[in-house]
Amino acid sequence: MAHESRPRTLDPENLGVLETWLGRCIGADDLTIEKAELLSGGAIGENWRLDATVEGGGFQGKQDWVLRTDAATRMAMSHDRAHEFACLRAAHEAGVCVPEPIAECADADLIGAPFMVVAHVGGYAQGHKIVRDPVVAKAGAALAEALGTQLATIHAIRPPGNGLDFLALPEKSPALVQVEQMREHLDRISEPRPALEYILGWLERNAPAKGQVVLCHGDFRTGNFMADQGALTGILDWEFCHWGDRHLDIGWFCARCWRFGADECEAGGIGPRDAFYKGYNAQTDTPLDAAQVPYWEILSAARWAVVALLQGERHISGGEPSVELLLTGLMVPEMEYDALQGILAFEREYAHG
Amino acid sequence: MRFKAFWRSNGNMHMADRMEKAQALLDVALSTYAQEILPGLPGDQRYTGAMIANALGIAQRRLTNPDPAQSLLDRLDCDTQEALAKAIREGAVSDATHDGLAATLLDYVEQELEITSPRFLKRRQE
Repeated sequence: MAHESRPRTLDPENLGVLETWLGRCIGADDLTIEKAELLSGGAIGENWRLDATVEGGGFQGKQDWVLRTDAATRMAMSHDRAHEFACLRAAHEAGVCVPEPIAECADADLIGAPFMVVAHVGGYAQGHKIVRDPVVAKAGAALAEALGTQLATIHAIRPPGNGLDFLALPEKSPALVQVEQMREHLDRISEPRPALEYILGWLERNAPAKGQVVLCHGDFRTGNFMADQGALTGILDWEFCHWGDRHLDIGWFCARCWRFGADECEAGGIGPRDAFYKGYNAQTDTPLDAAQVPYWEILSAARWAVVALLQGERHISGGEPSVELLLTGLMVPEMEYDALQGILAFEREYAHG
Repeated sequence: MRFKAFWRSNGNMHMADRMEKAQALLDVALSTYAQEILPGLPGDQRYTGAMIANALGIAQRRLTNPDPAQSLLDRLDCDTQEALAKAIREGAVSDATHDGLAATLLDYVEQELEITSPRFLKRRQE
């Protein structure tokens, strides 16, 4: 990630406040952080690796943790850290492969930003790197299948309960809820987007009816899971979690915009789509409907376009001048292209079928 | 003093001349940067360095290419992008009023991509 001039939150020389707070949080008698190292500071937040020693309580011994902070301005579409942590905890309890949640702090004053602490897991997440990894090239089908299985495990979390009652239940088709949210965001962006407006209108007219509501990860894609030697080690980034339609996550994972250039591998740029579907259907009580996925891939392109616009807007008016955010904003025509091609293909299919 | 004289004379220049000067400046800045600076950047700065080259390239093409937004407005007989976006949302411009609207918009998006991501467009059209 790029070096930016944004002030860092944590001071590695001054960790006393964090040690005391964390120790109390996990019921330890004593907690010492031997080392705090900044792993990355990007568009979304900072990641610090913590080496800690714990005396007493449930985490006795040497601990290898990661502390994640909020960005200076948080994405309008994402939850705050406390909610993200609750989603992560629900997933962990449901047996999803995630970094174990340790603690979360909503108080921005403690270290300068809200944060959460989770167990460190091995491997790496970067999408560009993962789709070009020779190990993944060989193990891609197995990895795609494992991710399908994990996604079905997430979707087995259903309302109500699970500590997730703060998440709103959709009153209508979750696809229409998505369209509505995207329009609200577009209205706050200074730049008019005629192509995106057309795409949203099409998504509205073709929205599937409300089906079974499940917990959607909301950002389930290559780049948001850790893999080590081609094996899944943890699913990350739970800040876009919501009750919705299972096909949103499936379409998001398979959409062309998240294949990082490895277009022939339709499951996230890492493996065949069939393997991903197979893993999913082996684990679920409700098989996915493959015919619905093209719609959700179009919706995914629109959704990523809106997120990219919001990121570009953070550069323009959000007080975060950054060439990276600006260039993300300029990626929008790529998603508009994929969505319009998807719509034209969808219409051709229906005209002939 | 030479700079002052330069800017004074520029103030009276026609728009086309000024654009040409801006283009020439960007051209030489980008090619010098890409050939002489970018390859020598240390690993941790290369990502940012590549983003800067990308941004300069977009600015360069933005100045040289015709404005895709204007040609879309001409085709759909609309005054501004704001008005067009609103008309599409409200249904005043739709598949019913304009045959092949999706294809027209795709055409516009392709022209935008010629400016912002020509490599992306080439990959998609292969």
